Amino acid sequence: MSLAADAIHFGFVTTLEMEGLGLCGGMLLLNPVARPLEFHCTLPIKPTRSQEILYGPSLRPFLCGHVIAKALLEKTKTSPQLVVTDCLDTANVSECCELPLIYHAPEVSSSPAPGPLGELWKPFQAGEQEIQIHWPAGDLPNNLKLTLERYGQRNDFAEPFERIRQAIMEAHQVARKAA
Amino acid sequence: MEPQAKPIASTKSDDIGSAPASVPESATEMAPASAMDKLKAWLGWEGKEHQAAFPPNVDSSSRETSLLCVGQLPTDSPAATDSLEQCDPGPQLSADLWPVQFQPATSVSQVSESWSELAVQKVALDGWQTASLSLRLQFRSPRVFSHIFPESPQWQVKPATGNVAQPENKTEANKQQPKQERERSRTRIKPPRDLVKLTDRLYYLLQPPLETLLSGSTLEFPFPPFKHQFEGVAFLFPRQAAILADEMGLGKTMQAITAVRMLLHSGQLRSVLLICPKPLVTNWQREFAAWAPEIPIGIVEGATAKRSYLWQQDSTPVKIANYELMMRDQDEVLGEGKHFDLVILDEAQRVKNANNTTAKTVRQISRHRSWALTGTPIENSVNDLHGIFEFLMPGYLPPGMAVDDLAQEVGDYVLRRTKDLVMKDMPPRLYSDALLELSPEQQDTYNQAEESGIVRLNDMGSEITVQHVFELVLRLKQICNFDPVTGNSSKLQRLQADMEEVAASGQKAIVFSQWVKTIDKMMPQLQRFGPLEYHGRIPSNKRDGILKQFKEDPTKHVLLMSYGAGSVGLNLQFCRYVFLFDRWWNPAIEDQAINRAHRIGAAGSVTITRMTSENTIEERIHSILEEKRQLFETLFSATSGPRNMGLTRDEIFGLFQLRANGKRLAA
Repeated sequence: MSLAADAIHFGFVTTLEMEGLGLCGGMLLLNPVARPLEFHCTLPIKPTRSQEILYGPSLRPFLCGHVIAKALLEKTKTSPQLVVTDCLDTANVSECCELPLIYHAPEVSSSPAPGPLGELWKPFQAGEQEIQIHWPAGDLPNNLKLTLERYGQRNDFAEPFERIRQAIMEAHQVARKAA
Repeated sequence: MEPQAKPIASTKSDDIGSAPASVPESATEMAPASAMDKLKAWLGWEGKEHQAAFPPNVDSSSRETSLLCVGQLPTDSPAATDSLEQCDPGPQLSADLWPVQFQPATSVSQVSESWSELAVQKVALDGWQTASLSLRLQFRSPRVFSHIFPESPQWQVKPATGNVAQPENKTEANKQQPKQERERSRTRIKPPRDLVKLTDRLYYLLQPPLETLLSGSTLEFPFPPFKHQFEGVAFLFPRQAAILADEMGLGKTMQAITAVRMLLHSGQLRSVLLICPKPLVTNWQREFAAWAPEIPIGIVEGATAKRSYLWQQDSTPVKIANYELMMRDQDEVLGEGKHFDLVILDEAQRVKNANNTTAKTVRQISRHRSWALTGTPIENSVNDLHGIFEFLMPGYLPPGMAVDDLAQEVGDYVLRRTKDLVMKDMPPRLYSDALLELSPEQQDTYNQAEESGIVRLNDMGSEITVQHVFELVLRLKQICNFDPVTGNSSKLQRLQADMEEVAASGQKAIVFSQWVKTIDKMMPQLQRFGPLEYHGRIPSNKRDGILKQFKEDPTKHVLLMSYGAGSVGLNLQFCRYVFLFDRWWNPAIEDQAINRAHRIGAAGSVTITRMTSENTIEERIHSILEEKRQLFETLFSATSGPRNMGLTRDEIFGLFQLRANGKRLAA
């Protein structure tokens, strides 16, 4: 985290369920003013029945984190300094990714925001937005705090995920037309 | 039946269907109790009768899981049946033997930690029918589609400084607005329908909302744009061909400038040519200075040599020229190697007649993008729209298209908003129809002129043309304004009375007329209200000064304008009163005139007084136009159809109960 705050790149990663097709992942690499630098999305993954049975409830976190998010992060040409997700299952990527991972809970009026995710997750107030940071190594460094505060003051952490979802749907529509 | 067991470490996925190489007999070497208990607890097997040997080995780095399970489940388990059928190929089990159904309750990582404690497990299965099943669970890395954005060096990230009027206060917005409201306040750039390539569509789709984009950049605004203006910018930004057809006063100029500004900053444009009516050149200059002060603009004007030099200059990314120059400077603007990334036509109704020379010239300009700005894309008939599209996309609209088809074809290229639609908080327009009796002197003159005129028209027989009828109409309308003999005018009397009130309240008014001569006659009668005039006889270089004086001088309460000179492009929103001294043929032109005052920034309601002389040709024209307006409102709101608002040839003849062939209609 020795980079200047203005040079930090954010990788927004999320996964969505495409009806009848399986799980699709998308990653949008943004500069500090939320302009896009790279976009990556996966083809849908549909586990087999035996995979569903044998992984049980652990299947989705494994697919979202270890398979999809990991594959997306490996594809980036410019490595992000921070990874942000709004999907708890995708947050599993923390087990195979050394970058600081930020979880921003999607705003769902019907359910309360989740509590702390665990010992390794540090709650943080970025502007007016509440986030949690996967940070196993003690206190959060000041430059990381500053970066997140700045970003949170200027931008909505939830907004890039809308873009990713729209882009995945668009890519899918185009692929469907082409097929 | 021999019990089967196998050391965990030796289990391989390629064991599928084969019997274990070494199987201890009737022995159960259990793993350490704690590990086994954990495993059983994880499987939910505690206290259950099932027996199994399962040496699972999960290696998350290879994403491969091997599993050997032996056991017996109730044969009525449908889940087990399904799982068996959908398993990867394995040994055929007998009808009463089923694979174990797992019920793991923890994550894979936790399970793998537990498994690491397991060494060997052997399970005695005396009296049980057994079989083995190996499954290979492999997750290949998914295929990834990637799009790398072309980065523009000019679109720099710099901290915003100075007096930046941010589109909105993001922090406050985040704090106070619920999610849905925040999403509504975001304006996204949507790729146009004719953009086919996925990477091109994603380029626009993945851009941040305009509000974010602009607040995070160094682009400054004199005041925060309205939501509909952001939408207009988002409409123009990705389009090669577009008509911004907002009702007058919604800020088409600002929207076009901001879109140009963003495209220039993102490196997508380098040269822009803006063509507008001559009186509006200075207005555009002012607007550029306000909304894009950092962008150098060049005004093409002056003598031939100077213009030639200006056309060749590449140092200014934006050139502004007027329509009249298109003909005179054809050689320059159409010269070899001359190319513009974008050509914008302001008041694009000027090219609605595709056959006029100006329209032909602008169509030949070499360009990449074409935008048209107009408040009245259709003034008289759908042909107007055809004319504009011939500039945007030659040949796109075949002649004679049905209205519904036309609406569908142009839908993605035209953006039209009305004030009623987008500016719900804008002050209202209050219409006051002043139906005035002619003064006795005027009435006498009018009657004589009408009777003799109709007699003359009838005498012309089949020689009569629409021009002859037109001349009579104009003659009668002039008499409705002023009696040519005595100078008497009931309209002027009404205007003077109303102006007393306007001036007394410190307000300002605009008076529109079709004729400069009418304005000349009004001037001396309105001296006590400090009248200023703005029409075709006023030299261009004096016009801005007049508008400035009208705005700033508290003694100047009234501006007398001709429809021709003052109906487009001027911002006079400080006026609360508009008088239409006589009526134009086409309500669209009247609307443009009214919108000089009723536009964004209007201080309050705008009162429009439409003066019509009772029992005269004016009243008859008014009735026809009102009927058409009603018809248009119905059609336009339902089908986005055309706006045929002017009078047709038959309607003009019908004003005097004449048929187009010159015969008078039966009473």
